[in-house]
Amino acid sequence: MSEVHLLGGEMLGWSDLDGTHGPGPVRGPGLAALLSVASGRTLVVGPHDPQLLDALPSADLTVLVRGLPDAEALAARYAGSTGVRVCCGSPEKLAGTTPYDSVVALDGLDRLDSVEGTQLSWGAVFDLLVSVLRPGGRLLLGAENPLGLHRLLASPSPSTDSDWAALAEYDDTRPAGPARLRARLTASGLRIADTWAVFPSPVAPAALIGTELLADPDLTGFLQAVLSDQAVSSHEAVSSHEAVSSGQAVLGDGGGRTRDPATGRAGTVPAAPPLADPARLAGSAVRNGIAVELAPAWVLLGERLPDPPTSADQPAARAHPEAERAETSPPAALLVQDGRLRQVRRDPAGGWRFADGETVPSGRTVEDLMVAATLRRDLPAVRALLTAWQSGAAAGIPADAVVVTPAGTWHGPAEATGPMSVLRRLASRLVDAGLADLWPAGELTAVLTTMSGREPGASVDQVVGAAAGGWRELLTDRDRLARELSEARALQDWYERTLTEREDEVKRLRRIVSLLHGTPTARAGRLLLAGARTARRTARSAVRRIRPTD
Amino acid sequence: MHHANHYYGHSHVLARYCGLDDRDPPRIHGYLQHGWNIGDGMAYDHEFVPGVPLFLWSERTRRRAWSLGRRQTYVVGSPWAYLLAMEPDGPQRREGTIWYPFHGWEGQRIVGDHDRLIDEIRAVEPGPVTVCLYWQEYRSTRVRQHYERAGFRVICHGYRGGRWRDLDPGFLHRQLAELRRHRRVASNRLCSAVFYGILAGCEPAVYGDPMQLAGEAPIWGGQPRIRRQWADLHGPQVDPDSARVLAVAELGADRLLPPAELRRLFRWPEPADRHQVPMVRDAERSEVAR
Repeated sequence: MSEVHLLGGEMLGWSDLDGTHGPGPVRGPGLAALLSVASGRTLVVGPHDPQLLDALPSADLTVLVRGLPDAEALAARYAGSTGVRVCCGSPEKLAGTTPYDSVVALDGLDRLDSVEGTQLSWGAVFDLLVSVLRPGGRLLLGAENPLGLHRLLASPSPSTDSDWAALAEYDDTRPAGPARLRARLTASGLRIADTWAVFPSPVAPAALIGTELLADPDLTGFLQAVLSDQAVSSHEAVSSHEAVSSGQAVLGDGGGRTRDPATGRAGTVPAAPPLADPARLAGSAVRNGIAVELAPAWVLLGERLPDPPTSADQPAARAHPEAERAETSPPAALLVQDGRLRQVRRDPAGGWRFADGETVPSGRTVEDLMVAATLRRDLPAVRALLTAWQSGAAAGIPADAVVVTPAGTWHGPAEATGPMSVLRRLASRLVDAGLADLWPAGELTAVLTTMSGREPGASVDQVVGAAAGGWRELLTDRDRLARELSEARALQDWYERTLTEREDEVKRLRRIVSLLHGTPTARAGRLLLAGARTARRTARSAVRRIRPTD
Repeated sequence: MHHANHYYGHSHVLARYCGLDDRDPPRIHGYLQHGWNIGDGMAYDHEFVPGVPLFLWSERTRRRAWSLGRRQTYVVGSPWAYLLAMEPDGPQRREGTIWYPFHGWEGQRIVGDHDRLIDEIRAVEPGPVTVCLYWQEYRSTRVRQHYERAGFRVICHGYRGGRWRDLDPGFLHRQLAELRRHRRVASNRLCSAVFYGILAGCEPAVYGDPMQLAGEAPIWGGQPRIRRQWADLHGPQVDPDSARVLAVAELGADRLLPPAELRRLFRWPEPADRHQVPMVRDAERSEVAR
């Protein structure tokens, strides 16, 4: 085992990587791909998934963690790599070390402090990292958004063990919002090369989207499709208690179980439902141009500007890393779709392209067009859209994942499922969006199916409810069901009244039929009797009226 | 749901369009608008059951109904527009004017001067005139003779139907046959019949003493509002093209549903022969598709 360099302030029984004391390390193929921007002598601070470390140049790599078990596990992992140096302790011990070409802090600056050392503010740690960055060197910095979708819509969660002094947004040195964050980097002598918005969780992002791409209004549909992708938006991905498979692999803590952060005991932690479907709000944020502001986190790439040209050796100092990174211009977006990583870059000819050459579609999603047409009550447009969707190649792809370009071409990145399930999903999402009352009660899937030109079979689920499972959607659904129930009761009352009316009429008609039925003699007898009864009733009531009441 | 759904044979026309037995149309699960009006599409004395959908003729009526607090409102278009979609217009000769004097409904009485109206009709109409009376007025020998003495042909399309009794599935068919015999359609008030006539290819006109119902309280703005809102349709001569645009919108001829959707909305069964399609002219079919 290679040696762990103990800097002081190390936490002996602590691990950030195994996920028992918090959300585990930052991880995922998107972040790993982003690490291609690092070069030369590299420093990594904070809990990073070892798979991310694997993506870094190992010739001169320093990794700083605060927990000793994590440091030991990493040292074991890189035992054969002579260029890798694993340090353990408080970040302030880094001050004064030889500057680095690249500094990586994708987890942000909150999980660097040790309980033993000085409790550094965000600003202090940031200044420290900039101070160990060589002029011309690159800083890859993650920053969680206290107002991100993942927090905005999360039910209150208990503190984890690592929150021993979590100031979060009350740390006055932490720049609030993406604009101030960028300004802070600029003020510290960094040129901002790129900024990515991170979805759906700061620690395990499935989508890193460059702010320039995110601000392109032509891509509204594509971005909404990306952010409503179940892989990107699923509550499991948002949950901070997700099992950390790679972290567990490092520490040999197999089994794939999660541990309750409150008790440290292993067990299944039921995820609390979000206040509202994060994907829906993300889609709305994209439409309103504030997706960057509401992103759960941001990753910034800053380049430290050269010091004022006082020494003659500056060009030599810059030459090495600059030449190396000439071809590594970072992608505009990194997306995990259908289990594979896709990179998007700007097309020199205009627009955006995937790495495989496919054009990123501009336009709106079928669902977006559908909702707009529904709100306009333009049923012919709704019908045309549903029919075109269900008679085309995208029939089995959810409406929120299909983008219709202005030229009329259809793009569906997701894997196809059955037409009935996507129609049911669309119905549920319309219910989630609070549009149920624009459609006949209780039959939305069947109506959509019929409008799309298909025959709703017996398998059509007549009852469509909220799908997203957020409190907002549940309340919307509850209100809808309450309304439908009261309407059903009113209707039942009406049926009862009508039934009684009709029964009375049937009785009357039966009497007439019975009077007119049979032989002429019998008919005459019955008519006579009926006449006599009527006469007696009339006489009685007349007597009652006449007789003085006493 | 409501006996008014069967007025004028409306449900019969729609049942036929849906490929069902039009001799005994199934119950429509909702309230079907049965006449053109400037309110929420329903009769002013209509009793509503919450949650029972309203099936309205036009988008404008739906917007108005929504603004008046009605929900569960769906535009399906008028039965008349469906009838026209199923009954192609032949190359028959059209002549003269069919004139609909404003009528009241059961229990209402008209206050107005029939003689003055007759003089106005004579002054305006160049060709032969057919006067179509409401069944109540038609039964009144005095009123009928008034128009007959003026040299007009007097007809009646029939009885619109009562509470599920005396239903008249042939009403609209007779009206269509009459309208298609005439070049012009006219009335002293803008009403369903004028819009029907426009859609059936007649040139419209609205002129003459609009008359009053005894004790008529103008609802939804009454006649003055109708004259302001649909000013283009008033007068002895009206531009037929703009009139057609208005009639298509008011009768929802641009909003007709395919049979399968209509069946779904009304909760009607599938036809026994599932592949039966209504007799829709090709030209109208494209309008339906739109």
